[in-house]
Amino acid sequence: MNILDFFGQPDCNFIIYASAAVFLIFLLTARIKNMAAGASCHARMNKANFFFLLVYMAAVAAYCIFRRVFSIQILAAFIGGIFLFVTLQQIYLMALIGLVKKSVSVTVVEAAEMPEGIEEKELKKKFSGNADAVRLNRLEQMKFLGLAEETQNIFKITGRGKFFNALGNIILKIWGLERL
Amino acid sequence: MNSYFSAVSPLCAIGISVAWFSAGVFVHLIICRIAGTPKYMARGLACGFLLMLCLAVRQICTHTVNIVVLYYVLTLWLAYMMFFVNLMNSVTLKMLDFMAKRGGTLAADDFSQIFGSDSAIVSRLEAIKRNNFLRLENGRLYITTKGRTLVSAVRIIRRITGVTEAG
Repeated sequence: MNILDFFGQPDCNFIIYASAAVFLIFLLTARIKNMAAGASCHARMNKANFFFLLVYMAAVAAYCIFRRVFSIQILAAFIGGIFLFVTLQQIYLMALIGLVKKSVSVTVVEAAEMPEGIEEKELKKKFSGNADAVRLNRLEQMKFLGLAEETQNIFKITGRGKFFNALGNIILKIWGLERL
Repeated sequence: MNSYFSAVSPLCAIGISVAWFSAGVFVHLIICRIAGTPKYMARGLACGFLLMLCLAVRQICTHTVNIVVLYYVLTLWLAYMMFFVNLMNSVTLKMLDFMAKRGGTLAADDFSQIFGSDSAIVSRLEAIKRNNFLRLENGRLYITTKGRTLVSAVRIIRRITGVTEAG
């Protein structure tokens, strides 16, 4: 048995290979075009990833029509291919980029890299402004997501905000966890 | 030669993966209910590791190793962990909860009470020191060998991925 014969059906295997191949093309394109550089790399990479996902879906649809292969197994392989494509981006690649780009801990460790070190007070001062920026950014994000609305610097939780907050609290309660 | 690898139908691959993942979630739910929040991340990763180990051993023993099934289960578990990490750590969700618990209306400045400038960096710095990435000597912070290794690894990944702007 071949290690790469996942499904025992050439058409279904092709759908998975195509997913990995299109993702590889996306990766090469992203690297050549330096998509990870700059401030808004997440939005840029997600947009490009979505475009390549559409290309993949169109290619699989064309393949199925051309080969006249339609079955529940093909559909399951197609769902698997989409899952592979999306998760390679969202679970692995973006997590890695997020870590090397946005991790506060890494930035703090880097700040103390000089041989003479850094004063603890100076380091705290350096990053305290960062926390303010994060807080203001998240307030804007809440408005953008429709979780809260602002009138004259007063924030009020919306119906959607109440719903998502209650849902999150219910899940945490079921699992017996608390917010950190 | 009898191969360890085996093909399964795509529908069956999804079914097996969802069954194993659900079993893992059920065990993790019980562990969380018993042990609570402390060391949540370490326990979650250990639970995922054990789940993958059980699945791999079972597949090896029954000569049914399938890379796609292993990928599905591993990725579902990581997505599950990321969901809880975000739910517990997200600043946006914490601010939303803070607002809901105080009647649903707050002035922008009131958020600084718990999301103040110092509290976030102080707790982060404590964790960094506790994990030996930095050491404190006479009021100054120095990078340790472990910290230097982390920074070097991050720089290599930045070079490979083309990340230019950190922070």
